[in-house]
Amino acid sequence: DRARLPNHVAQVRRVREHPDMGRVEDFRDFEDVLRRDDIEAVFLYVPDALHEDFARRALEAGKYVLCTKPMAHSLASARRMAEAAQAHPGHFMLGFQFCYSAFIRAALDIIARGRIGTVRQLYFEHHRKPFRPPHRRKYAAVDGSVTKEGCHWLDLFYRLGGQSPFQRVCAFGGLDVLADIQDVDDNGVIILQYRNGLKAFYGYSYFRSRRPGWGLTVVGDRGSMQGDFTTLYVENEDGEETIEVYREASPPYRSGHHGYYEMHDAFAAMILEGQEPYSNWRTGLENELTAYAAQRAVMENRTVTREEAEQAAQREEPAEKGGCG
Amino acid sequence: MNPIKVGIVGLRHGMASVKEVLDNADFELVALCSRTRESYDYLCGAQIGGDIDSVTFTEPRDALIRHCRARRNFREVAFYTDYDAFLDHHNLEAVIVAVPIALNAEYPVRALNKGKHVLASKPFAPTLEAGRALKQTAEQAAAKFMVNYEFRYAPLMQAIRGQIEAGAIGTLRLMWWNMFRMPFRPVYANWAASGGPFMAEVCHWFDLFHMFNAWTPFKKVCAFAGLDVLGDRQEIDDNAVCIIEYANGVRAGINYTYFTDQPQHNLFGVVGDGGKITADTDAAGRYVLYNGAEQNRTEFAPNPSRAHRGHLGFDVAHRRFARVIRDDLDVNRDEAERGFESLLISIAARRAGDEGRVISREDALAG
Repeated sequence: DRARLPNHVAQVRRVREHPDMGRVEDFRDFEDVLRRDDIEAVFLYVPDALHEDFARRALEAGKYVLCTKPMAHSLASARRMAEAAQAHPGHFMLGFQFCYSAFIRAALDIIARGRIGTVRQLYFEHHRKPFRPPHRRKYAAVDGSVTKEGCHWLDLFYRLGGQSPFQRVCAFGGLDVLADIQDVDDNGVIILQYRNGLKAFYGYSYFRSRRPGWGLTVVGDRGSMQGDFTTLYVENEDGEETIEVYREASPPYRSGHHGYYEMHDAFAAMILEGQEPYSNWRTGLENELTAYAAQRAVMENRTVTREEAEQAAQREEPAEKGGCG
Repeated sequence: MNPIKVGIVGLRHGMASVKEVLDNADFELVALCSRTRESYDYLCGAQIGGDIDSVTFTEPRDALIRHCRARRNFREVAFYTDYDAFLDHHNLEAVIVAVPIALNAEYPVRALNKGKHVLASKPFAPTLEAGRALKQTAEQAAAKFMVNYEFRYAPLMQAIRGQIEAGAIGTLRLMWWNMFRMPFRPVYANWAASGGPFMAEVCHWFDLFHMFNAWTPFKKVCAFAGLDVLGDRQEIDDNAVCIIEYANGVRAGINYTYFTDQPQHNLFGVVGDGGKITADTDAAGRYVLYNGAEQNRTEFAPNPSRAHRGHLGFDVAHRRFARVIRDDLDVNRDEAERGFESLLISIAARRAGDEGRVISREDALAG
């Protein structure tokens, strides 16, 4: 679909022209891939409900695995994935690309230098066009815009906020505009509180294309930052600074998937240099738990605690074979 | 036409209102009331010491005093320390109330009961019970009643409201407000004096959301709040995140921090199913509208020369008070209902912050 996916078309063209493409084989059965000793790593872009099965099989076959987000279609499945990843140390990475972007790296650097003091609040605004059709359906009992996409921003909150576990989340959300094309929530407002006292707000809508579509705010007790993945505005008692982050960003930043190249660099570093990536089974499991609680809060318009989400993680939930991939 | 004979009670923040009435030919300042003579003496020419508390709503207090005493011989303005005696001043027609929050309902009620027109201060009342009493009194009063939610009248906010009402962003669906500012003055640092940030200040943003959303009542609210940074100097929360759902399905988020006095004090936005507006309140404020098939960008900024830094619309609110009286406008019911709504959601948000759970409108009304 050239009109809707111009970046995708361009990328396919570039891939076609790559000299290595002539040596790439096509398989119909994943087991055939896993049986090949000369294949060391696999990237998994299958529907969410297949993440656990494909990742476990690949890990057991000794492959390095980069699995797209979210970790799994349910909390119970994510826990089993985490167990499989633990059994194969240094072989599993989760594909949360935004946390590797130049923008987030710049923000992390400012925090690490103490330029805004201790991070106390985080806000993310995201207003965009509707999902593509495959993402508009629910594939699990607790599924929606937060588990499908908001998990990215919850991951950023987690990383920028010092990787403190969430404590509770409350949300008001619903399906108010797009009910004729989808069955997942199309807007919501969410607040979270973390164990270290950090608080966060996430507001989103999927009504129509926006420009600019998103904005991140990080509030410390000595200053703050705001930005949109291309520019980072920093202020503190020493003054103000605007950092043009996009100049250092990876090539496909216009596609919106900031950090995508850098994420793959991190995957290579995990394999070649044994560097544990930030987005691993631990952060993935925490993200799954947070996204589950937030999505449940959106669906039921109430506060969901960490304890409640952890109890839910003990139970298996029905899922269909579908979803993001 | 004779000017409206007006008096002002409270001369700390009230000093900003003294300036407004002196600059407005519709008003004649005839009486002042304060617990101490200090401010009145300054207005009459006493030397302003270096220890004067300079903070007011609009500009430094010493500058306000100098501006005012150049405009009026204050020895011709009656001064009272007793509020009842002030209300009984022989030709007093209207009262501007700028007293501590604990008196915000009681003083307007007493003035209305004596037939005086009232420009009350926010928050509407210190408690639900006091708010109910003021609402009932204002709705039944023959004199005019208005609450000084000044931001509501700022050209910036009126322009945004106009865009929403004209359908520039389609149907309104979501609103957000992020406030960053310096700590409260010590006098507001405890719960008893201020009621906390939701009551003392965020009530302004609740009021604006109420206006942007065509005065639709809130349905439920939740907040996570805490005192995380300023514990050595205050007992009230210093930061919170808060979400709201309104009866028409519109949703909103309001977040505040009191850690730093940042260049941009307020950043906010309204999102519809056909576009969005983002804005801030620096200088006279500005907004950017994104709408249309190409997400066209339209910028708007009011003339900053007349804006009160930090308190947009303060002058307009005073001019409107004069017009309400002059033109005999029937505003009491709307003003009382909207003021009470802001109080109710402020109380609900504080309670949600204390309890970390959703507080419904019914919960809040039940007290």
